[in-house]
Amino acid sequence: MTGSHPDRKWIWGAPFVIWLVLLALLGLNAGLSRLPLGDGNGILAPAIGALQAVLIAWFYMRLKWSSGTLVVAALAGAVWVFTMFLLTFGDYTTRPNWWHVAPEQPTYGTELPSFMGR
Amino acid sequence: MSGATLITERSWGEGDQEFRASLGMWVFLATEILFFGGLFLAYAELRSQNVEAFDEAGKHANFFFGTLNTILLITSSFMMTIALVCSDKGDRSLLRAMLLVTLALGVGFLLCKGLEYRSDLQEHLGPGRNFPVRLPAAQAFFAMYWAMTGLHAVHLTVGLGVVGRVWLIARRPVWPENFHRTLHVSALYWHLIDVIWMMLYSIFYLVGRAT
Amino acid sequence: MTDATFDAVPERSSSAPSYLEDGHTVASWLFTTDHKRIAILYAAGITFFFFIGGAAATLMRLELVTPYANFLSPDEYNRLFTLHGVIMVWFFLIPSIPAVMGNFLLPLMIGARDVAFPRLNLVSWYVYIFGGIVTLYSLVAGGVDTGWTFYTPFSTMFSNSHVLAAAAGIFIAGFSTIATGVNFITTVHTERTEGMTWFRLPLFVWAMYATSIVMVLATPVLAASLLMIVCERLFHLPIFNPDTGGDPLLFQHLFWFYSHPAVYIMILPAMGVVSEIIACFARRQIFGYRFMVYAMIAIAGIGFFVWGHHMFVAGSSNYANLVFSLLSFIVAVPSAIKVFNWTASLYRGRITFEAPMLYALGFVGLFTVGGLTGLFLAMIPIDVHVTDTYFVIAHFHYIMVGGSVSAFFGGLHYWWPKVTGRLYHEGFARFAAILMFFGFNFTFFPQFIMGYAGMPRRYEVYPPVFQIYHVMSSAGASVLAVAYLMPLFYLGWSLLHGERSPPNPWRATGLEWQTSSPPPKQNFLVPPRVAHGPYRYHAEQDPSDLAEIDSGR
Repeated sequence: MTGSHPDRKWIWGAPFVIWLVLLALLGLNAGLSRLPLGDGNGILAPAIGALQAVLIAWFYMRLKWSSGTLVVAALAGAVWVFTMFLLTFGDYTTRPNWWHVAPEQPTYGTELPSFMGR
Repeated sequence: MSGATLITERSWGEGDQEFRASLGMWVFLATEILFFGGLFLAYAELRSQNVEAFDEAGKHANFFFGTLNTILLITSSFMMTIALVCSDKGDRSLLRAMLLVTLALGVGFLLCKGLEYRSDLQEHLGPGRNFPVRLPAAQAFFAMYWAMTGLHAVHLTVGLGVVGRVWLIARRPVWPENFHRTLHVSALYWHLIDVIWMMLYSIFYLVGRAT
Repeated sequence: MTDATFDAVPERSSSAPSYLEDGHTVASWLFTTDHKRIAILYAAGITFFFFIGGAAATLMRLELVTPYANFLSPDEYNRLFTLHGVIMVWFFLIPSIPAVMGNFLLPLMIGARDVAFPRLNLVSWYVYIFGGIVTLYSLVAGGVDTGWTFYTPFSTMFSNSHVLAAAAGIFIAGFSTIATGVNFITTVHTERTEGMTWFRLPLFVWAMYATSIVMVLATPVLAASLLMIVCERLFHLPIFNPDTGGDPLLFQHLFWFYSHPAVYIMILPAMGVVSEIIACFARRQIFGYRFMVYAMIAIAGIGFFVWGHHMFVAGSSNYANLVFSLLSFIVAVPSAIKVFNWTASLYRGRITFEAPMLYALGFVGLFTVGGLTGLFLAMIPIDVHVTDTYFVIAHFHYIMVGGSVSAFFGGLHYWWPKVTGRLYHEGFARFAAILMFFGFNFTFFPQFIMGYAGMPRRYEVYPPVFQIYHVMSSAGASVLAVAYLMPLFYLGWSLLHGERSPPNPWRATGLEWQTSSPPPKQNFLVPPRVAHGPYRYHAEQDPSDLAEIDSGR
């Protein structure tokens, strides 16, 4: 089955486009990281990285053409990581001294949501 | 549930082997995503508490090697995809060549990684004294850097073994009937290494470049 | 065509040797890919580790009889409770029902020849044993004093015990758990026989499926947290060290993201076992089959979102504590549904009290106590009061020992004739079951009281006012020890001299009873077909019910 293949052109086609898009996104990501966007840099870079990851998963890993069960299996990992982030940062972000904000309530541990009274 | 078609008496115990292998691999890949996910969470949490120090430390990550390695891995995934398409089409010679290029790019990645680690250590970015960034929390950035890129390199080494095995099988004059399945499942693992690197690149090599 | 009723039971065909007769060499066991033999290998492994963990508990209970230090130094006591926890959690409870009974029964129950990946199945056993050996090394070399939770920064910066080896052993064993989970999920998806639709699966299979989801999604995060401990201890990468930007509390988030769902790895399989037993010995269809399924899936899912209740006093934000408290209450709902449905399944049943049923009924009671005290612990004010006291110890032992281990023994007796082809002595078994129930309660109920009164966990020296409870607890533990040792003898005797079992001694439904006892290597001589749902016990009593059951599925 070796030799000249009339459809070798076809073989290269679609994956090549994805490759170009991935490289373009890499360039975009590297370029954007030079722009002073404040906290935006820390969000944009992983977001573009995640987009690249999704492209690889969807096209190169053939999720686009796979049965729903496989997509669910793949999504399960991502969704669970997301909930892990959500609940963990639900803790950290509601602490008084989170991020680079000065602690407003130095007596940590006494605050309660207002609807609960004191 | 699609894919889980009911089996007939004749094929009892055979099932849809392609689907079985893919499902097993995808479930395993979900565990890999969570494995790295735990480390990503650690990174994100430490960064949220030490933003300035992480920005400062990020400038010391080796942008050149990081970007070069990203290009190598993206290209290797591309080659791997071509190998898979070749398998669909029955183009054996191109398939073997593509697997070899994939392997070469993977080895190239590890070489670059080694050079990068060497230069990092020369800059005292490893654990120990003379850490070049004055903010102590910058060490947390490099703690995660070593742990995560190190773990990724381990995965890539395993991936080289997996792809190398497929290449050895592909060199045989007669392919086993499950060859396409083996190739597909191995390719999934190889691509996952790339998927994870995309995230690693964006959190370690692009941090703090603008400040 | 075989039908999933208890009437059509094929007699053993002399032409098909059972899986036990298929090869007698050691190699035929150690290199087998037969899921039934691998289950036996796992059974040997967990039995070994159970007695090691049990020995540690025995020493601790002996020491605690008096309020003073008798024969253990505080450091030795620390190492003993760590040993007990590590061995029991990762090398007994987690592989117990899934890797032993799940391996044996899952393919049989869905009418398959084997699991999806038989070689991976064997590899998982070797990985488990290897992890066990590494962990045992750490314990023999001097032990670990961090407790099974490996809290940082103690485990990373201060402990000078063998944390690395223990963490490595658990890390390795995690691969075995993941392999089992991947295998089971794929098996349930792809290996079901003709007619075995999702809602005809026995609840044990559903329990294994839900458990596998938890195994697959939780275990890697434990691996990540242990890896970070190893990184900090071995390579001095300061991840948890606050001096260099690290965060000790981060470890607790990651650890409990695994370790709370790990509780469901232990209890979900037990729920599956109990569902099978109760249906069989009440001769009733399981009440609300679909809700039992949904409840298990809900427990597996919501169980991931409650881990923060382990950190109420750790310095988490009060808002997060509120959310975690609420979620912990929510996860109790599906658990309660299951308890109510088991109880409802008994209604109008023709209940007989064979040993498996005694264990199953004991499970329902003990699980209810454990679950309700879990609600106490989900309430932040009470949790703050009883954190790190014996109340917590009693609570999770009611779930893990009263729940999981009771169900394990129930399942062991229930499927013993299927696994070995022999019957056991019913009288001894019933006695052991009752003894276990009372021994367990004598051991752990006093711990609720002394915990609520303020007795902290992990101390060998305590105020004399608590001695009465400790003496009761230790006395109960010795009763419990006898109850655990008894099956070794009468089951061992049954193995050698027991009466031969018919294929279906309990007249139970389910495909595993449709083949000979013990099953042939390929499980079924004729590929089974399934025409209706599980638990068609009503057929014995009122055939008119059947139409309703069949249409409902």
